[in-house]
Amino acid sequence: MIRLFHVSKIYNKRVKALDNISLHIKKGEFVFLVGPAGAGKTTMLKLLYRDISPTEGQILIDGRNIESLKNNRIPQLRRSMGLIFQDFKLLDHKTVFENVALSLQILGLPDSVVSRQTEKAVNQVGLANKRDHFPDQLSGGEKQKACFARAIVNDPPLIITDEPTGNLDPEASWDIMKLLLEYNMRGSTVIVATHASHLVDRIRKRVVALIDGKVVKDESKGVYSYEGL
Amino acid sequence: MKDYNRFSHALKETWRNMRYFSLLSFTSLSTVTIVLTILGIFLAFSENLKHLSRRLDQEITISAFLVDVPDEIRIDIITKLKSWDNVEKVTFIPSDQAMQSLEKELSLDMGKLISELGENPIPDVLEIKPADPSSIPELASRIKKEFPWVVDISYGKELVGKVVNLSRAFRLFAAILVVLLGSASLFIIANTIRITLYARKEEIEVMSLIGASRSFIGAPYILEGIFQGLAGAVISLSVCLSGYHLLAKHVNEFLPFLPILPAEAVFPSICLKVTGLGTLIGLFGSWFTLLKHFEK
Repeated sequence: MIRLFHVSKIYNKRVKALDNISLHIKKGEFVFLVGPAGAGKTTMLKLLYRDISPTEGQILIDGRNIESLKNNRIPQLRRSMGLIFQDFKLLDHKTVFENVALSLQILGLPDSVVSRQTEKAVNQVGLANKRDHFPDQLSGGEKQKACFARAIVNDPPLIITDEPTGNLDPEASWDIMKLLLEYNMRGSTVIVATHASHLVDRIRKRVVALIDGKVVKDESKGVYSYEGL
Repeated sequence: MKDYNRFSHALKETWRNMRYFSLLSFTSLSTVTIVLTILGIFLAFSENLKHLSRRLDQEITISAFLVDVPDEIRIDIITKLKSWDNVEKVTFIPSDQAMQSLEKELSLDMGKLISELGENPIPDVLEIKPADPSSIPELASRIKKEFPWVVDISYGKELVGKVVNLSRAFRLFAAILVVLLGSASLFIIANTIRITLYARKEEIEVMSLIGASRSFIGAPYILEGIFQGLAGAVISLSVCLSGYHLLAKHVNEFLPFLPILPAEAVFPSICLKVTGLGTLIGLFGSWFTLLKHFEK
């Protein structure tokens, strides 16, 4: 599904964030991206959703070289993936329902379809009773659940999340991780950049460790450890 | 169908955004209204000045005085004058008729005056209406040069000069004012949209991350710009129309000699211009700002 060929990213011609990375992530895989702060995890994710372009190398998603995409094709790429962030990125003036519905409204779907699918996604994450609440009326865990619902509402084959549990207590973190695992079990690919070692060690999925922009470990049922590598 | 759904969503978003950022929207709408009101006042003034200028133009003629000119020569002069490009109309007024007109205008008993003077002192007159009032001085000197039988020539030299100069100055002033006011409105709308975009930077980022296209993100802002331009135009036209009615009433009462056009004659074209300009500046103001924002 995702292939990175000798990808490097250098910021401002000086700071090397990624250094000659080659990686293959198959369809339906669940991958943890770990490493210390500044290792290049967020840069790698940004490359995948074409927020930035690589300085060198090629990235293929479903056989498409996303580097060659024109700017007006980027929205289509992003509609084929669900993004979840540590800082939630929910719209403050929209309710939970409206935030989730937005992912479908941009597709130009009729209101009836938008309502039905949004309802389903909101129920799936257990926020049915908070559907008309605004983000500032929600706890951190609930906010992240709303983000998850927004990410999966149009049923994308790929979920990319950057520190989804960074602002959550252990219980809420585990709830989010369970939702991601459930979604993965339905056949979708999930990539999670995280520092939550206890979750990585508990789940035992593929772990890719980055240090100074290089892949230093890639284990299929790995644990959270990169010290001494 | 998809486009209809997106448009309907954009309309809802426009309304929601304007409510959510009501203070910003109100400031922008007020400024546009003020600018368009100034433009409306100016256009109303301009229409009236044009009307006055046209009336003066119509009334200005050259009077060529003839003394003891034989009929065949007079007919020859008239025929030649009518063949000139810059002459629109030539009317012969015999001295008797001129005297009667004067008698009527001044309410005097001219018969008494004539009997005292021994003869009618007013000569025959050719009234020549030029095609272009600005060519009167040249036309007058050409008549004097080509027809020695014309003993004297008269035209409102100063008035003609003033009307021509006023007309030129007004056109220049009008062009400058339209450009200045148009640019000011465009700048104001663009700035408002820029502030709005800045205030909604995160929202735009989120929408872009979930796959919204530029047109989907931008449509509510474009609609907001158009709406502000249109609403500004409607409010300013209401203000201008009420003000004009009031002013026209007072002018007609206190300065009846000033020809003020009725609102029905002036406002259809002003409505069209102000509404069109309001919409255009709203559209382009938001459009350019969005383009600039997306280029960053």
